[in-house]
Amino acid sequence: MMAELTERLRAEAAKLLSDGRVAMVIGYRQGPTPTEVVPAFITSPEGAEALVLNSLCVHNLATYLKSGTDGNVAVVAKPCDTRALVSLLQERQLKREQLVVVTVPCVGVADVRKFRAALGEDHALVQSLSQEGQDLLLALQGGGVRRIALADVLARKCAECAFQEPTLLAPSLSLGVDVRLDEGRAWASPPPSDRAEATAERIAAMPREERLRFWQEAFSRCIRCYACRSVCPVCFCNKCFADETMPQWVARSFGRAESELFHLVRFIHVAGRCTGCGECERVCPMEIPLTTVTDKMNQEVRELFGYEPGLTTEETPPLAHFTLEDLDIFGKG
Amino acid sequence: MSQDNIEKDQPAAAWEPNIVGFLCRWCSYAGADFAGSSRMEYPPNVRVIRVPCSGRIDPLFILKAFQQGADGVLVSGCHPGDCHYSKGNYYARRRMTLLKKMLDFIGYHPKRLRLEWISAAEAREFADVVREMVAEVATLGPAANERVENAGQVAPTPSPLSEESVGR
Repeated sequence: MMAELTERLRAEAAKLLSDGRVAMVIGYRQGPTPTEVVPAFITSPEGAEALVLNSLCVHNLATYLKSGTDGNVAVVAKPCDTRALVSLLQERQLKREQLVVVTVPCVGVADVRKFRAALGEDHALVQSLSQEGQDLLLALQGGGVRRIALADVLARKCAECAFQEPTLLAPSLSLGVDVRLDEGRAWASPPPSDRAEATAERIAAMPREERLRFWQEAFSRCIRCYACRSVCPVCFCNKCFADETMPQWVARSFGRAESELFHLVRFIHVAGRCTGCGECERVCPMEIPLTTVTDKMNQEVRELFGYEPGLTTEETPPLAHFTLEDLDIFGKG
Repeated sequence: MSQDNIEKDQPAAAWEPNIVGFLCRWCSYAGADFAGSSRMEYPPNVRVIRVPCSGRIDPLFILKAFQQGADGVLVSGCHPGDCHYSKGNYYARRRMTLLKKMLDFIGYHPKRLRLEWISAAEAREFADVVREMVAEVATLGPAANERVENAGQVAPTPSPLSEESVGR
């Protein structure tokens, strides 16, 4: 099934390129070792043979479109990734007519850290990787096959996934231009759980002092590599406040207070726009639980404004508009 | 932070809440002025920053004020419907609501941030709000005490609103 799907993807990508529909296909290819998958930027029909599709295709490729495109681009998108594309279209960072969305079905992606841990010493022995439904199959040197169940290494966001349908393909978008490879999705998705809420609730239930310590400890680990900002599909300002020097909001000096300011302001900037792809947390080398806050903020946005980011391009993010009836928690009408 | 050091050297009794007030120039700022010219007494703990509209107040300003040692932040603008620019305060209301939710989640006491609508005529209201907020924040104690020691912290950040940067 996965092999057949990969073949279809390669054929469609080659066709898009040879027809001249797009100048580039952004997808996934194998990285330096068989157990790594990296983004692929394919510009020739022959190059499409490099494309792969499996549960290590963790990246949200929408992030490569956040500063616009030169010419038409096709992008491989899992259902949840389409939310970020909606966000970019909604905020006019991208032109719909320049974009071909290749939607692929998804059974969930692996948490790469858990996957590595599960693989352990076998890492160096892996010759090739394939996927059968929800099992990752690793052919090892010497003939053995290692089988890792996706459920054991599943990314947290996938365990909680509520977006198994692409959101971009709304009828109002006059499509017919996109390539749908996700129809007749046969695989059962992992059972949804409420772990995100539970994590946020667990922290919210802590005494205030403990909660403050928890986050201060987390932010004190930050090395301000800004990987979270770079990878975030909705973090697209040409000049980030953190890079401003006049006034210098965030000092260059190392310290929790500076890192905390950066993160808190970033959380506010993405509040009501964050599509919950969890890339910030995935790329964080210090494993700061960033999505716990972004999830919490999304939950607040849902409760206060009844809004879910990345569903339709017709809506406006909640902090970019208002209603006269808004009530606030300050007790003022 | 500089604030921590200053406070550590002083006896606890000397501590006074340090509150930053962002006031809209069309209403609350004039209301504060009216309170002053009417000789109403209220605690002098609020450092007022005049802004053109409550919609101008970036959550960044508030977070920066806390980072620089504020114990509380007061945001005050025109009553809904009265905005000089017709809708700035509605945007502010949404922003401040979310900001307050986040601060609470991160562990800041929500009473350290307060949003008020005070018109240019409401001098009494302004004085009451300041009195109430200073009392509340005084009960909470210094915000710096809620924070752990920041071992890696080097020099404090220079004020973002230094004379050079406002270009006067």
